[in-house]
This record gives sequence, structure tokens and C-alpha cells, in this order.
Amino acid sequence: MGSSFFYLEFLMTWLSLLSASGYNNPAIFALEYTLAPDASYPTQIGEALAGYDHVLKVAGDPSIVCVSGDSAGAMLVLSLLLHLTVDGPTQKTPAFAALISPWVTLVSKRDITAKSDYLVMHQLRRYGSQLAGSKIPTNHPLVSPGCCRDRLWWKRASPLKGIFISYGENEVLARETRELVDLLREANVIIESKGDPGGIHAWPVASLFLSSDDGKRLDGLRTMTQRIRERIPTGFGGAVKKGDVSSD
Amino acid sequence: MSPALASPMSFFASMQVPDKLQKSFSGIWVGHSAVEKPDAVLYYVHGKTGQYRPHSNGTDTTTERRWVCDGFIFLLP
Repeated sequence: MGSSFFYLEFLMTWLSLLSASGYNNPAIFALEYTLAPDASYPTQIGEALAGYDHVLKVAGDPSIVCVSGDSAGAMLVLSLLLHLTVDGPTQKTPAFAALISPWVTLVSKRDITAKSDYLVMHQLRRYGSQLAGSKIPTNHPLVSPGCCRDRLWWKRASPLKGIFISYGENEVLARETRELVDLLREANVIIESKGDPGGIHAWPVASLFLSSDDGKRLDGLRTMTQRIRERIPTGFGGAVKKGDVSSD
Repeated sequence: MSPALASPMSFFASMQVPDKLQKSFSGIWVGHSAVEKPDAVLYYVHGKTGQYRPHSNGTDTTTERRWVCDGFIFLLP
């Protein structure tokens, strides 16, 4: 959806689950990035990099930062990881990436229309072209991370504690997601994926608004929280003053 | 894969990383205050100025606030 404010209930719920899981004082920063066709590459990745730098300044240590996103946001996370390491290894790599239904490849022949999913292929292709714009081809790895077949690049781009991907087995993007997971395994990246049988696109987000009871509403977010809790220990608690967090 | 991406050298030569990526951004923080209200607080932050403004009432009450956080998530929705 692109808007942080649309996700507010999702964010608050996630924050509560993170607190309940043992984090003393978790914080989430949700980026409000510019949507296509209002802007194309490199606007969105530029905003993501600037926002990530801001979070690093606040956190003080990338080892307590998890990057996350769903759908196009998850694709931007993968692009962010590739951008950070385009010139080689970096100290800025986050600890962990937790992704929901990443839009791995902007324009793909492997995407197939699924009866149960709400994504539509021809719209995806249109949006993909609009997002890439005129400065970069739609199959360039920096805008379409599924096109990156360089295992060494993925290895150095990967967070130290790896990547977790949640997706729906019945979603349009499932094939591309499985292909990326296979590639990351070949690259010796720490990768875990969870395909929900019968699941559709970004169900951990959608189910929060659509499911009939709390158990189902929170199931996807609980999985995400559990994975983060397993990879990023609690108890750092470095104090950060407001004056320390100004950016640029 | 396009011909331009066929070999590692041509692949890296084809990179189109802009010299100056955009520096401004906006977003929201959702997190807990360590010293004031135990409930969640929401801020709007603008990357150019780095100023924090409570989203709800426009009054900056964050001067003395301390953030003590042991986990951060950078979310791209």
C-alpha cells in the first residue's frame, strides 16, 4: 500500500507482540516512501537508504536492527541490501531481514495469475515498469532483486542472522519467491522460508484486518515476531537521547 | 538475463547507481518511551531537519525523552 499510516494498526499490534516476546523497549520505523508513478527509480531506494541511515543513527548498532517489509516494501528491502553492498562488504548490514510476500522480480514470466489471489499479473507488470522508470531496465538487479544471480553479492548482502521469508503458496509471486530462496541457499545465505498452504499475497498483513478471531488475526505476525526474537537477542538497551538522533 | 549482464565485468559496468541518492525521507516511529508514558508513542520524523514532532497534537514534548530500545525494525510497507 505504501502508506505507513495505513499500517498503523499492524504496527501497533506488532510492537505489542515484540514487547510480549521479551524486548524491553522495541521501536519500529515505518518509511513513507514515494509511490510510482509519482516517482521512479532511484527515488524509492534513495529514500529507503536515507531512512535506514536514520535508523542506524538512532539504534547506534546495526546488530539490533531488523529490516522488514511486505510486497513492494519487501522488494525494496532486498534492493536496499544489494545497494548497501554494491561496492563490497559494509559494516551497515542489518542483523536480520524478515520479509512478507516479497515482490522479487518486477516483470516475470514465472508469475502466474492465481484464482484465489488478489494480485493481477498485467497490473503488476504495469506497476513494475512505472517503478523502474526510464533510468534502469526492469530486469536490473538493483530495482528487481530477483534478477541478481550473483551468489557472492547475495552472500555479502545478506544480514548476519539471515533472512526469513513468509509467503502464500497460492500467491502470484510464489514461484519467484521459491526461486530466490533456492538461490540464496546455493549462496550459503542463512535463509528460512515459510509457505502458507492456500495462502495468498501478504496474508500476515491482510489477515490482521480480515480474519475472524484473534488467533487467526495474529498468526502471521506471531511467526514474524518469533523469528526476530530467535535471531536478535533482547537486553541491549542502549540509551539514546533525542538530540542524538537528528539526521543529516 | 540481458547481454549486458552476461559477465561479471560487464555486469558491474552496467551498474547505474546514482552519484547522489535522495537524502530526504519521511516516516513514522512507533515505539515505547522509557521514561514517560509506558504506552506507545507515535512521532512523525522528517529526514531533512531531524526534528521530532508528536503526530497527534503538534506539541513537541520530546525534549527530555530518552529512548532505551533493544530492538529496532526498519519497515518498508
